[in-house]
Amino acid sequence: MSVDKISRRTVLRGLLGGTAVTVGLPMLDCFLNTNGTAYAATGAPLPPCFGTWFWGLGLTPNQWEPATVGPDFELPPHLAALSPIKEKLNVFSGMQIFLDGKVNQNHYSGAQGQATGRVSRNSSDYSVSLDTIIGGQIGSGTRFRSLEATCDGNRRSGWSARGSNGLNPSETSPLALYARIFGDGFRDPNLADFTPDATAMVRRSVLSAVSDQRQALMGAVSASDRVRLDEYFSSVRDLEQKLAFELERPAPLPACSLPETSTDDIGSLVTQVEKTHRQFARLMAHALSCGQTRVFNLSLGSAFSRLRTPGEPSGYHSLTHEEPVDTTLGYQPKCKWLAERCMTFFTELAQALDGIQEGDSTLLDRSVIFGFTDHGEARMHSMKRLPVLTAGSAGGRLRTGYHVAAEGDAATRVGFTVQQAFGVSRGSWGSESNEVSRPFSQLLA
Amino acid sequence: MAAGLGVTAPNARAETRGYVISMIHTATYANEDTCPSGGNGDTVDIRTRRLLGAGFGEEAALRIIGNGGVDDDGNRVDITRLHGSSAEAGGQPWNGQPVSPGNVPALSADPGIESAQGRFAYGFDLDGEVSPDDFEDPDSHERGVDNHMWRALGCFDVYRIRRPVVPYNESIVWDTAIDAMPAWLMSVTGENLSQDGEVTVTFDRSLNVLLRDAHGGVMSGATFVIDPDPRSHSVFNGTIKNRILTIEPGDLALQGESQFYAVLRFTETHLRLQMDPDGSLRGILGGYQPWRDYYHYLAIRGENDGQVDLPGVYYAMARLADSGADPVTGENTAISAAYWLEAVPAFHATTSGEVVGQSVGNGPKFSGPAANRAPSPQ
Amino acid sequence: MSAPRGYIRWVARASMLGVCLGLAAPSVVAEESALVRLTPAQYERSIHDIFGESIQVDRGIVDPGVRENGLLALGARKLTLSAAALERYESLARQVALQVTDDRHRTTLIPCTPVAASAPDTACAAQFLSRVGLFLFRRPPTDAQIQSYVAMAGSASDTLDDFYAGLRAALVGMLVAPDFLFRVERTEPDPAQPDTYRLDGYSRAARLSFFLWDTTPDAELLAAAESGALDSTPGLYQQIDRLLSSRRMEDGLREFFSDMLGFDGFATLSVDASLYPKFTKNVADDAREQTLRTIAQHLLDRNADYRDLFVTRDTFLTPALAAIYGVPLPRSQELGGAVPWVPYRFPDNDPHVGLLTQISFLSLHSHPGTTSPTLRGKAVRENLLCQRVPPPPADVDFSLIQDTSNPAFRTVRQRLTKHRQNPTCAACHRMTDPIGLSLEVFDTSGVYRTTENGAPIDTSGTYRRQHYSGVGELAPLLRDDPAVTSCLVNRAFSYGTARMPSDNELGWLTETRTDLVEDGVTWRDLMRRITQNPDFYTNVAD
Repeated sequence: MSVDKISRRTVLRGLLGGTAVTVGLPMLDCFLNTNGTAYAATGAPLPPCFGTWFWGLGLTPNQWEPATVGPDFELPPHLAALSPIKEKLNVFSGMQIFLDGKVNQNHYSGAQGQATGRVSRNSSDYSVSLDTIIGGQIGSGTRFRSLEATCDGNRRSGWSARGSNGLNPSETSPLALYARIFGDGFRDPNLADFTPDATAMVRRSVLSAVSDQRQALMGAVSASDRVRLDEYFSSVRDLEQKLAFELERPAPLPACSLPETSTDDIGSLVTQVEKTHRQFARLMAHALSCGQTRVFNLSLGSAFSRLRTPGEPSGYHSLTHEEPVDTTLGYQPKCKWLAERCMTFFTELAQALDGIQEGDSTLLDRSVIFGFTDHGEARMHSMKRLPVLTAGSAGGRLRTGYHVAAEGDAATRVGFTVQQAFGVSRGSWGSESNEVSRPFSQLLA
Repeated sequence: MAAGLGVTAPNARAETRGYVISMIHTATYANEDTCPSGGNGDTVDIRTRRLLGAGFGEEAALRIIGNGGVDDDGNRVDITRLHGSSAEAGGQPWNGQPVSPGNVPALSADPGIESAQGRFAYGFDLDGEVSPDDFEDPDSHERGVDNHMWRALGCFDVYRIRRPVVPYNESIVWDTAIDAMPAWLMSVTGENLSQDGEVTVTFDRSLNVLLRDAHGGVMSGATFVIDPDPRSHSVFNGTIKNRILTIEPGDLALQGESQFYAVLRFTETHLRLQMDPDGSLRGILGGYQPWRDYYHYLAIRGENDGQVDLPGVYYAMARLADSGADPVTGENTAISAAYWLEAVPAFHATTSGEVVGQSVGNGPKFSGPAANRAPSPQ
Repeated sequence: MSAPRGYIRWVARASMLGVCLGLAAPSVVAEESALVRLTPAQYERSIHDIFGESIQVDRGIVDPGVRENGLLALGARKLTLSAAALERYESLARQVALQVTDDRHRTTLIPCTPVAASAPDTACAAQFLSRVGLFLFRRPPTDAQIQSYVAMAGSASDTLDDFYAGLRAALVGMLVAPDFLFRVERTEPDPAQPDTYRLDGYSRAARLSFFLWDTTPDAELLAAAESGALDSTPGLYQQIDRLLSSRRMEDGLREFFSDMLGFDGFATLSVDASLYPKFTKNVADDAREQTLRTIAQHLLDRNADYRDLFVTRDTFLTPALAAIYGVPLPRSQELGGAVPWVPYRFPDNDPHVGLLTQISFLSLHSHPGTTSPTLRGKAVRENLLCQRVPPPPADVDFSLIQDTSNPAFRTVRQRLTKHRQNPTCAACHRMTDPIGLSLEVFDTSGVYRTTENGAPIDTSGTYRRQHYSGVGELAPLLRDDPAVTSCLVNRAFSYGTARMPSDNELGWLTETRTDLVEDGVTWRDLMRRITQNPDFYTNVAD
């Protein structure tokens, strides 16, 4: 057969329980177009991906803001760790989250505002998050709707939520996440043969039958419980979709490969968090490149960061309040060091995606990672001058290499801009003073 | 067995502090003067010497060693087998059966190992004489120190060290054994142990094993029930002066349950322990130890783990033994020795639950097997 | 002090009377059913009670709960199941189903054998699934439901040519159904009070069983629901008595206090081992168990007064705990055996007195490397007194906090001077710091100390205008504070109903508190009063 006659449909599908055999084709470069950016036959571009990255306690004020604005800005020494990815990076300064008279829930409201667009009166009142909105736009047809992980061992240290019924729990163990993604149920997109699993089909039809019982229950419960039930049934549908995905032979994804595993070492020491974060970063990158999901959320840990060095009695959060400001230097030296460690972790995540080559470009090029934090100055619990980062360009839809100084603006403008880049069509996002309707147009291609 | 006569019974009004032994190992002190002939090396050197002694040339010997004890045709060269505890490891015939020379060392010829020299060695003057053969203790600077065990062992690489490095073999076994071995206890009784004065020092075995702390060291403040078995009960008169604890010589016996330290027994037992502000004790324990006790430990470990020349040590210890003349053969059965000892605070109780020893002090941060993680030398 | 108390009682009674006469405004009793999410512990216990203890449930935390008004149980009323959680539950369900239908279990758990092992058998499937469904859903499944599950079993049996595989599939369906993973508390019109609603018999059974035993209703309770016995006072009281006299009360008590004391924090507790070598990994587990065991013995075995938990010296210890508490604990050694729990009473002159001096409290409310009087004081206020401590304001300048090397500020008390002197800070910190400072003689790991950085530790303070020196004198003051009892009473009611009390219920709770303070705050008495109150079996509108 000449190359012209080979297409994905040449692959024969196996029959459930039958004797037909599947014939797969090895991954050929001809499935990509000449740029390696699209499937040749359909011309459909490789799908964009989105991830959020949270780190607690911000950066050292007056040390991180780049001096120049616009493209080709210079990274100050405090952000030196970001230099390897500078071309694919955007840095946003000067923005804040508005409280509109509500109590400042320390280490919470600022992050909640950036993740969901609104600040609530109490922490049990959470609403749909940025990644869910973008995921709704780009994320259908993957095995997992989204993947959440955190590096501090606390499942609550995330900011992603489907709706108003609380946070999505975050995976704390890289090994467990590996098993979940690449263990039972993983269908390698580049494998020569593929047999749909009969039990997966049975499981899927069971879930479908469970969903059919919706109506019987919905009528009986209160309005708010109907919302909860709705979300429960959405979770059932997600699981059905996951199984459906496992039942179909996946389209080949050239850069998909299984990551290596190593033992978990979960704890609050800098070395432990570094290792855990590195493992999660690789897992997420591989999950994206293997089409298992298009949306991920990775937290370095809770905003009350306990990051610390061995023998140091105080964790990062305690240090931000207890370490005195050095009068000559003008900042808290230990806190600054820890903030710089956080920036190296962000770079590692971006490089994990950037290291996956897809034709002429990388996984990072077709993604955007949104990096956000809880305070502009942790010591004072300040909501002003929040540092925000993005890495990646969503396939060219978001320009990179910019420093955007938006003095006094609501930080939700960044999240809104990113949504626009992914094609979410809405006129505004956020509530009360955090509501924004103008994206950063200089960044939108 | 209990110590000699004239031991003062503990005063009912007195205070008794309990301790548990958290670390014990041969007290080593090597420097550049210790082995003027170059030392006995490690297992590679032992094998090489045996090959040379069996008539192999030096080049052939190195090639065989490099191949892992196998000649150019792929056959095992028996003499490179290290003497372990299993009979097939380098067996020699005895009554028609192969035996390990490690277990029956007299089957081998004396290889003539180098013994340790130099001015310093830890220990005590056990015989009351200062002779040219004696050492000087590097800490107390006591002269006339008798430590012939050091002479026998000190030129093997694994022993040719000094603190904070610990003999590898012993530290590994201690770290492994203590989780299953009934603990060894010490207690000190006196009117007021925060001051200088006369005391009674007691050694016992416990019915409990050691508790570990978060560093893998030994937990201070745990409680140990004293084994009533008299075989491990030894009592000494002692003195505290300037926070140093010493005893009048006597006999010590402790039953153990591990590969190393199956039993610990001394005559002419001496002790010199520093009483630390954190409540722990550390220093030197010395005396005449039946040399076959120590040889037995090494033979069980085998030459691979123990990294000594077993027949060499056997002959050296037999020759250097300096006490306990056998009434029939006239040969000395015991050898002068010194051990580094560390003990942390512990509660002691009798089998009926009565608390007889108090735990005083929080203990050191890094103890026992974790001691070498301490940031500064001990 | 009897006059004011009597007055309060009169007022409380008057307001109750007012309610009966329709003078006060009660909150709306709701018609709608309520949904309460099952906890992982309840899931596991239900599976074990229904299918037997030999079924392994590899729990692994599924979804973190959310604490609402001091209780995870209240958060359970607000949460749903995320996709990740459902994925986990489906996987758990498959494991359970596999064991239930395996060779070892099927003879006891499946009452019939199929006509052919490789084909569907509607009759046998229906027999099994309707029986199992009754227990899993805590009420008889509807005909439509049974048909649906039997159809699932049949279709799966067909596809996989295996009857038991089909049964497994249907069982998985039941185990992920909302009827199992949530408690659906259905109501019916209350015949005694027109236009109001009460929980139906099966929902009563469930609420009672989860409250007292933290597990699914057993066969006898379900039978009482079916016969209508639970709708009548004698029938209900009979079941209450039965549940109260069982050893299974300990499960319910342990789960309640784990929730109230915030023991879910143990999952993420981190104590710096390099600074606190005695705090081994086992100690955290032991510390939690020590406190729960102490409470169980005190409240159930001895039927003693809850308030005395603040001053009790009786507890249980393991060798590792004894080493941290600094007390001798002679033990017999069983090599390789289970860790022994030994009953222990702290001597009268020992500083350890009551719950606040137990390691579970001290370590849970500290930082990994230092103590925190503020966190400890806040825990007492919020967990034990049900008082809310406001969060700190934004933009507070902490530049005046001194470093620990400053010789003028060697102890935590000295470093928290600013908390006390600055009026903005003091308003809230005077609620927390004095209580916490009394505990400063216990470091993060619970080890007793008398000095910090060489300076003596001052543990004096004032509580409700009474001076104390050390936690030994503070503890009796807490015990005598009626807020301690109100907190327990209110929390217990909220825990059992998975909602905050309505206004008229608050009145009843106050009266209950007053009665108990006089009669003795015993657990079974409190449980009986709550479960005999008809309001316990209602839902309240959102």
